[in-house]
Amino acid sequence: MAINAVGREVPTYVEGLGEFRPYAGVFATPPKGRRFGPTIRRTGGKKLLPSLRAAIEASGLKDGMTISFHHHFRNGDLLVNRVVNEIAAMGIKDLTLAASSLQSIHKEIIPHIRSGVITAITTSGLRGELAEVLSREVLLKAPVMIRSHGGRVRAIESGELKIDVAFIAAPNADEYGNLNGINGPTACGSLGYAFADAQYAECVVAVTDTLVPYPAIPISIPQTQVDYVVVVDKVGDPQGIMSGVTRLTRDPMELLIAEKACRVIEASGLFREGFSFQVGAGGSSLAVARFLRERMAATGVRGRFATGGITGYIVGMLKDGLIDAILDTQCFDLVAVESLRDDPRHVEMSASFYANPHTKTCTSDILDIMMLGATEIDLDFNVNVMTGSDGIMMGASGGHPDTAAGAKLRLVTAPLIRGRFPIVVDRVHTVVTPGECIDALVTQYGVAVNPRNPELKARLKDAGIDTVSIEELQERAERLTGKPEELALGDEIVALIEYRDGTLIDTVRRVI
Amino acid sequence: MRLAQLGVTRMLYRNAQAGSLESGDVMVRVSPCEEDEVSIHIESKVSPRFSNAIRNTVRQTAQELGVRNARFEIIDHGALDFVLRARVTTALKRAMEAPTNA
Amino acid sequence: MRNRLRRSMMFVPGNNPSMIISAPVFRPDSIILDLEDAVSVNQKDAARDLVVEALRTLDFGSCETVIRINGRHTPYCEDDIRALVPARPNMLRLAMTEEPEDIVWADRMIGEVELEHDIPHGTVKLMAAIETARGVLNAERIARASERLVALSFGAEDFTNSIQSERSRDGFELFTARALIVMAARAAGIQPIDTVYSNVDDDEGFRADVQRAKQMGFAGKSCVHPRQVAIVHEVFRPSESEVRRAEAIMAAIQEAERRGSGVIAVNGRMVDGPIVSKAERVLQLAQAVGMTKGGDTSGN
Repeated sequence: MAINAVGREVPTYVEGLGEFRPYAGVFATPPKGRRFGPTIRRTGGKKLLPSLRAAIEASGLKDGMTISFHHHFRNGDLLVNRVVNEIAAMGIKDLTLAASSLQSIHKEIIPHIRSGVITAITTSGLRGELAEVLSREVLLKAPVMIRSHGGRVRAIESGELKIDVAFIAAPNADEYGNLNGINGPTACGSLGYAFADAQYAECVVAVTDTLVPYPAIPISIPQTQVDYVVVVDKVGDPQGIMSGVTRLTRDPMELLIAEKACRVIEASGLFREGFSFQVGAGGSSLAVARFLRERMAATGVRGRFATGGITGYIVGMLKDGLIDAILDTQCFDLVAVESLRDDPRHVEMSASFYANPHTKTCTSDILDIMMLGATEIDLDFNVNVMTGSDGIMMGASGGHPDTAAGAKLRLVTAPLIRGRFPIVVDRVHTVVTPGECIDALVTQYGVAVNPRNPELKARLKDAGIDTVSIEELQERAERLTGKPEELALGDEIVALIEYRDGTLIDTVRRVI
Repeated sequence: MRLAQLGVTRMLYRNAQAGSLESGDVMVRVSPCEEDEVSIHIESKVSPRFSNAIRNTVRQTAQELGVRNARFEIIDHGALDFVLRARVTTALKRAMEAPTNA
Repeated sequence: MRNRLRRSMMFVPGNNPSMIISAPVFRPDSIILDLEDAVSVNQKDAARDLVVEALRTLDFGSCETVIRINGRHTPYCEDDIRALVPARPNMLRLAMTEEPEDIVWADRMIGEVELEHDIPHGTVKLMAAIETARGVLNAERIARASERLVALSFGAEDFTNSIQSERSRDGFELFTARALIVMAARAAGIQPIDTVYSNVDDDEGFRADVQRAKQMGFAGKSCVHPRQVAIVHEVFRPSESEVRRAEAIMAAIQEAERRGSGVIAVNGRMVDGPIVSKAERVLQLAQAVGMTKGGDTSGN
């Protein structure tokens, strides 16, 4: 074990996973080595296979291999469960599941974990019953590897995470494996999280419910990367994939916090012609966009681009000429999907382009303004988005540490108290994003600026925005809630939180 | 409250409840109890991390109202302390109402 | 405080813990914890206990705490007063006030409870809610009925019922009642507060309603939602020129007092009592929205 640069004890070696270095700082660990590459192969003419089983057989999947999936279908994903069920029925076992993220719908794989079909998992996030079970029991050969979106791609490109068979759910495909996400009943828009899998996996199986005559244009993932194509009746559930349009929150508290955040943005000096930003998909984080809009209309300031995580609200800003471009790694509603399809200014970007720290440039490094969430934030401004107040995993690393590392202004918006729990704690239960990456916390009871950013504090003061210390916010919360008792934890590590550069930033202990 | 100081003991005559299952609230159910004790069963939808605080508040409020025998069932949805105090107070006062003969 | 700003008086259901806790965040001038219409008959006791604990525990910041207690002729009113006064809210709002005797009675009972609990007499203020035709006609006498009384509010919903009409968007049926209440309050030197606008989604309609209320002479508006509070504060925000004029007048007054001269003129116009009090009011409003030094600068 070693103590890392955020004061957390992390292992230097883990049985089943190998050696690890402790987190040493945001940009302390540079890339090294060469890019990994899959075997050069010619699949030939006939890629279309009659069933998933046939594809799994053709892929040569054996015990001990690694399979991967993207999470663009969110809680409408039907593929992971289906493939794992099929693999189990075929008697294959001891597999590593490398999903870009896992949702509550994936609780169906729990029995297959118990029976040893899946013995290791790497993912950005875990939710629902699957997360609860993995938080309370040691079921896998090794702890779950939690990687950010950027970190996952880094690991794939470097060969640290070798994918044997990538299963890519494709809303639209042709028989030679050209894929896109913007047409078909299960359209999900950008396929950004699948690009690395398609490029680097040893064997790539595309699974679609909508086969179109060759070529499937536009081409997001090309035929040159895809080995097999399978048509199924339903690869995803549209209801679970996305809504028609994302409504802005009407909750007065969330709006109040969003408005406060917008005032901070305006005072920060970054609200200027040609600025760039990324907001969340709901709550205060998305509502900030509404207030930004108002200020843009009032002042005439225009933005250059938005990234994310794209909802119809951001598309509206593009359509109304408030911004010039959208770089899209994931679509959250059909308005975003349509815009991606029809508007050349709305561009699909891969997870690598978006967040990979070990590539020539990632967009996260260019971004001006980044809106972030938190389940907890501590007195050092370290942020937890992975575990809840009960220590159970329920969230994801996602793009959080990636965008926080590079953006110029990183604001966390959150209500000061959730349920009876203060958001501000002495020490977050799980560090996902280190405090040096966070500039300020905006709550309904006040704004706390990270002492590491005295310039921001000075600017807010000049603008007449009162700030408080994060300790004061904690006191205020605890005066209302009282201090919660400590969690009962086991000794076993059930998850490792890997920082985007491959070092370990924290661990998750089993919850008793 | 003055009752506890005067050493007055109040009797519960009926089962009663107060509060709700809404977020931020707590449902307090109380019933008379033969044993000379205040027993508290907590079902916290939120977390066990406040169970001691909840127990203390329930006990203290009962004591202030002069209640020594009661069985409490607490279903908590993240209620702050003052909310719990209020709901326990209401539930106990309701339980102290003499039963009307129908 | 008698003449504190009461531009926005926001109703909060007295039996709803989350809403009580979040109310002060929205910075209404007054928070009305409602034990009356927002609370069902079988929860009157629960709401009362909750509000008492809330008053004792929560920090309401700069918001005035007002409790809307049940009307005099309900079985709950007396219990409300006896339970709430010791918890020291700033004010009790008596629903359905029809006769000056209602206020006299309430005043006396509050005084008794203050005495029992060693609270200085007159600490807890009173506000009369005029909600019926009879109440409107008696408004002038009600407004003078007690030293404790600092405001009259108008309740349109019950009022339109009592005149056997229905509410309309332009509120024509309320015009006379509103005017009488304003006059009754102002003549007695207390504040008139306009009625609730219940369509929370109609920002335009609400803004027009507030503007009308302000024009009619109301000191403030009852609100049922935080977004209404922000709109009220915008409408009551004085213009830059009003503020400058008021500052000029106050400066002239102070100058005149220094020099010991009596009559003064500003911009060629004589400045007398009413003009000075108007200037003071403008500056009070300006200070509340951070337009002058010493005010609240956080954009409220």
